[in-house]
Amino acid sequence: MSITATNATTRRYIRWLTALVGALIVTTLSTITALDSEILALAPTDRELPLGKIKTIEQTFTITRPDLVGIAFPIRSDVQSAADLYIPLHLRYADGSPDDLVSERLLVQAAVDGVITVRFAPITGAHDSRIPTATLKLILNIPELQPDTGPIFTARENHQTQESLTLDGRILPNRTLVVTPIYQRRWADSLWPISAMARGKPGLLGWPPLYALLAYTYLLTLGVGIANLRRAFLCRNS
Amino acid sequence: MSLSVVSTSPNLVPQQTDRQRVLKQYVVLRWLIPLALFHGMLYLVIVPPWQHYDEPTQFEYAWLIANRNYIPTFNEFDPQMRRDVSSSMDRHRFYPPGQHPNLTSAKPPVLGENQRVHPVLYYALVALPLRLVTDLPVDQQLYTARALSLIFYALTITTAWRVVVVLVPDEPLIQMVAPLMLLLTSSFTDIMTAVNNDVLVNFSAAVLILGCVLLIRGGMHPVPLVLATLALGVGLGTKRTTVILLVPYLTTLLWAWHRTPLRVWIVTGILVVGALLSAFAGLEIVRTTNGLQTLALRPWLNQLDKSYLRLYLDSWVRSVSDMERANGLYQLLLTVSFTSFWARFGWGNIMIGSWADWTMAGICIACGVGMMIQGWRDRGQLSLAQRRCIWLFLMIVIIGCLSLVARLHPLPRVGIPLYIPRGRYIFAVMLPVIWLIVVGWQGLTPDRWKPYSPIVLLGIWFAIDLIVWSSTFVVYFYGVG
Repeated sequence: MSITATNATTRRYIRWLTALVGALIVTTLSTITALDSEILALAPTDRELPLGKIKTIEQTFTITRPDLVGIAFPIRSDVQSAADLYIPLHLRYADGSPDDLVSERLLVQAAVDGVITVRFAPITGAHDSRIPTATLKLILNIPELQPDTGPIFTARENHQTQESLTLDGRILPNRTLVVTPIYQRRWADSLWPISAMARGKPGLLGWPPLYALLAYTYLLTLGVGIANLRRAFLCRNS
Repeated sequence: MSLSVVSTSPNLVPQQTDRQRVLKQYVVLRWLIPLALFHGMLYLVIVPPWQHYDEPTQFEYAWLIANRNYIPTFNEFDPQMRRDVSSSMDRHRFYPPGQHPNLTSAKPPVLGENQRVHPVLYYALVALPLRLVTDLPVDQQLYTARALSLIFYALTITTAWRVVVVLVPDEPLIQMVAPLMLLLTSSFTDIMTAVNNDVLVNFSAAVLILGCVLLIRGGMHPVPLVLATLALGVGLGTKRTTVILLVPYLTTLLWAWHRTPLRVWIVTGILVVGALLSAFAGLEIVRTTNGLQTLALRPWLNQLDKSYLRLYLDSWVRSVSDMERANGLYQLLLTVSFTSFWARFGWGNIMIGSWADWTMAGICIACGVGMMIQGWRDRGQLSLAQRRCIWLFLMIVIIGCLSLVARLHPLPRVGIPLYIPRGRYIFAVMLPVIWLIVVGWQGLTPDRWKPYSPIVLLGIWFAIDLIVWSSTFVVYFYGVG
């Protein structure tokens, strides 16, 4: 093989390798996600809500963005009384099917710095994503506890929202359980709405980096096409 | 632009050179086919499920064949399949905000206009891959069917490239620019990545045009003849809109058989005799109930009209002659069909602004003028085959436009909504249109700028394609969250 042919082969390999590295970078960048949640700051109007003697807590809350991946509550607990205490949690649409979107058990001991967090697979906010808000209902089934004992949640005075807190079927007016939704944000979405494109699609089509990879491959092939056009243009005018 | 034809090589050495040149030409396909596939794939995934013209019912037709192993009757349906599709349509925001189909009702939701008026060929083809995925969710089945369309799209672009190579064998730049323009024509790509029988019609039209061009250039040879005939057969077996391609096919056969210029009186004679024979074959004089004699369709044509053409020819003739009522509608037809030909996407719901309509109108008018200039300037330089190819393409475009006028009739009674045919019904003429635009654009450009003009034209197409993408994103995705 001549030196020229070897050089051409090497160049070809380098081009392929560069393209593959580029694909890897694009895939990696488009998988990077960050979490967005409001800071749980206590307010002067907050009231303690001991779980003793309560059987069920129902709280509706509105989410304003797609990709809800978790919720967090402030919780205070006496370590001894709450040892191995699990609280079953259900999350479902407030106005839709009674099927659970999330069904988990909260381990009270898992609270970090007075905040307990539940994580789950992304939930798209609404049945119809042109309506960006959706109301979800959080249901907590509290195990049997002595009155005024057990972990303590926080209820907040709130006159502004439509959200409601229900304890054992009794609505507490102007009170809400302090719950913070946690959303997932994909860095690549600021360039191309890949999460929205993948949302609700089956199999591989539901994997957001696929769309970034597809756009990258298209641009790469387009580049090859433009190079060939340039060659044809120069050939025509030579 | 040179329109010279490839000369037959007189000895072995030039033959080898020709072969090498032909092989070298095919190198383009190494990037053109992947580019077509990736571009088509982007459209395939960007447009959410069910968001193309009649996609739910087009899919239903193929699904019934795949799952029942026979051709379904007009009123046949599968309730569970309809519920699954409706649920998927709901999840993918098909219905207006706040509206949801009733999935629990005993009567399943209607998916749209029943497509079982069309011949079965395309749906039987789509049913083949669908058989492999019957156990998967309905969305995945839809994407499988769309993937078949994607293959036809890539094949259409390849065919377009071959047509242009035959037309201008010594113009490598134009050979790339014309198929790339077709590739970047958003409305065309949009429909070619949908589940729609127009996909097979457009592909067969491109193959037919390739066959015709080869026949005109090389005379009556078996391969192009079989290619053209087969393509026409496939087109006719797919959708009635292909009927318009019968005229260029027959004209090509005449030109391939008679390869010297035809005298004017011969052409006129053929047209008159053809018209008389057609009238004799298709019409008969009948006596009406009140004793008057009138023209009517012969039974065979009436039967063909009822079962396939669905033009309602009897009332059609009366409707066309009602000039007072029809005249006002032609302007509307022109606007709707032109804008939907170039700049309407999805289910016709995505528009990119009136500037795009005006830009395309300006380009078409300017290229029409450019074609006349080019035709006048090169009138002595073109071979007979080249002139005939241009006439053939013009003929296809004109017949396509006339077919839209024909489709407008018969006009419904006053008070009943009128359907204005969309441009997609004549996407079969897209390749000739693109070619004529390329020729016209060259005619418009002064000689010193000619080398750059195809690149500029391609740049315009690319820019419009990018804008269409962003418009589609805005409509479907950026409204979220």
